[in-house]
Amino acid sequence: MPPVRRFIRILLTVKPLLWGTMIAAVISAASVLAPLISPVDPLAQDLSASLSAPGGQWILGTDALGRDVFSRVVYGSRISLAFAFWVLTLSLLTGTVLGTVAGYFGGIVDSVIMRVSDIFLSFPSLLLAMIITAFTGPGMVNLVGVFVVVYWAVFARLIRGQVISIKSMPYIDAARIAGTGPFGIITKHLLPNCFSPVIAYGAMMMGDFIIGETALSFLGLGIQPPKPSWGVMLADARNYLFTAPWLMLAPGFAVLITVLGFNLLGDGLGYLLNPKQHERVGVSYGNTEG
Amino acid sequence: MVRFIVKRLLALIPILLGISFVSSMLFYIVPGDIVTVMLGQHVDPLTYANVRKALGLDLPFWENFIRFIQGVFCGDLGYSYIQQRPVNQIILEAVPVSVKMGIMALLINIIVGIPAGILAAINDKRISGRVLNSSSIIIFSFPAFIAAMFMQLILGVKLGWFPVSGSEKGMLSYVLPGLALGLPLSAVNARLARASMLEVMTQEYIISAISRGLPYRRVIIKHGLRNALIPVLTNFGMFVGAFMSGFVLTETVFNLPGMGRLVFSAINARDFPVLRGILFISALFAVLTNLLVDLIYARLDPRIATVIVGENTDAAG
Repeated sequence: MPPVRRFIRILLTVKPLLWGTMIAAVISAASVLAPLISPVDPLAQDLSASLSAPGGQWILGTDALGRDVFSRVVYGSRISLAFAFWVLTLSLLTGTVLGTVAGYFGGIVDSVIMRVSDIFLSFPSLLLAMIITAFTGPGMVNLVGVFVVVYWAVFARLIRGQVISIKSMPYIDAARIAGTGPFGIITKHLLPNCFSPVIAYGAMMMGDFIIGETALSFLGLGIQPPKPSWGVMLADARNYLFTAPWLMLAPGFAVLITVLGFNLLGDGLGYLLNPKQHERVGVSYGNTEG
Repeated sequence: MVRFIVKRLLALIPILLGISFVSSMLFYIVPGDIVTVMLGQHVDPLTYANVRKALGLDLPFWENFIRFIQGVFCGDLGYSYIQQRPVNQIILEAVPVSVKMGIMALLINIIVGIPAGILAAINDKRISGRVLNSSSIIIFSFPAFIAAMFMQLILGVKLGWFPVSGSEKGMLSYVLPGLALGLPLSAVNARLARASMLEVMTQEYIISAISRGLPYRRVIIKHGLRNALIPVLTNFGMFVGAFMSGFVLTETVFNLPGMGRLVFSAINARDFPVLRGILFISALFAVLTNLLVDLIYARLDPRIATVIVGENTDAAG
């Protein structure tokens, strides 16, 4: 079967992958096309239309300052996705470098890196992020930095485990005997083969990072108003929960659907990229997952 | 078993030192001058010097670190200049609320999560199993504070079953916070229980029990469940961390005067010693719970203890 058709077949068989890809694609498209989709500027205030209910001119209603909730939710996806993307990239990069070094060279380097990662993993992660941010101060750059500090250890452990399990394979020995240096072995043979569980896990972590950004912005530690972050919107909505529930429902569902999308994507990729499960795709998995 | 416990306890020492190190680093990462950030621009020079001295910032970092460890050993986590009280006292007052909420969340987590996972595994090929399994990933995607706000709106305001905020109504006030915190995590539990149950159900001793003619229900509960729950139990260590982070948001939403809301109010008041104390205490609590879970795990499955001691590698690794 040609690769494209095979890919489509797998996509249709593994339902979480299908749904996850669709949701992630729609959210990404919405964030890229935000200026085209949103009817008005997310920061434009119209005090005469303050707290209008959804319907008519305002698809999802307006907030206390008369800003269009729909436009704000659409623009909010930009902040959440950009944040999650940067945190994932940077913590994956840090984790990959440290995890590979630890796993490949072993010995004292391994012990030191792993003991440090133990320390970071022993803190409740989101609480650690909150408290560090309370000290460093809010803002997008600080927030990304803090999340990388909190989450690199997770990836370092994952990569280290993979590297250790692969490094004793015969083809690595063969490469070494053929005269490939450590750098060549790591970049050409080890890393390409240890990324499949990392990809699935990374997709799951995107959801966690989005929750983290929303949570910290909700507490006033992350993105600062008037920027349309979903967390900022939820914090505003708290005061109007009983009079204007749409203020909470719109960003609430946006977060839920986005996180769900990335979780499904991670779940589906996990099944797809795990060779043992791969054989079962369509046989067992396709039948059990509605 | 004794060797295993000793080994685990010894592995705790570097972790505890590391936690103290990270905690005492906090005062040094504040951009600008920490005392000015805490007390504002117009603080009189004498107070400024006193607070700076009391925070230990006149000392080099290493002495400050050692002083923090000494303080921890004597049960002293510092002094809050905002509330004019020792940090221990402030934290101790908030603990009972969070403990009640944690128990509620844990109960909901167990009562909902494990049976849902078992049912999903038993009915794996039926529609009910599929529905359970698909809904678990949706529930799992609910961030606790968004779940909290949804519940406030639906169960608290529209239906009026539970109080929406505060802790005046006794255990009833803890139902919604417990649900908001416990329910999303119970989906994690359900997924784990399902996976582990499906695995156990293919083991030979289950097949042999069924072929011996034992009632199916009894095989599931007596032979299957007992072994399937071991991986679920080990994951409870993870929940402790998730609970600690979840407290901050859920208690803020429900206005419960526990540890979580203390974090929130300390953040707003720039009460740095309180934040440092809470970070240290929660990491300590998380580490000790994980240790306890490991010990119970080793007791339930004695192979674990022998493997780890026999391998002669660090137990924490």
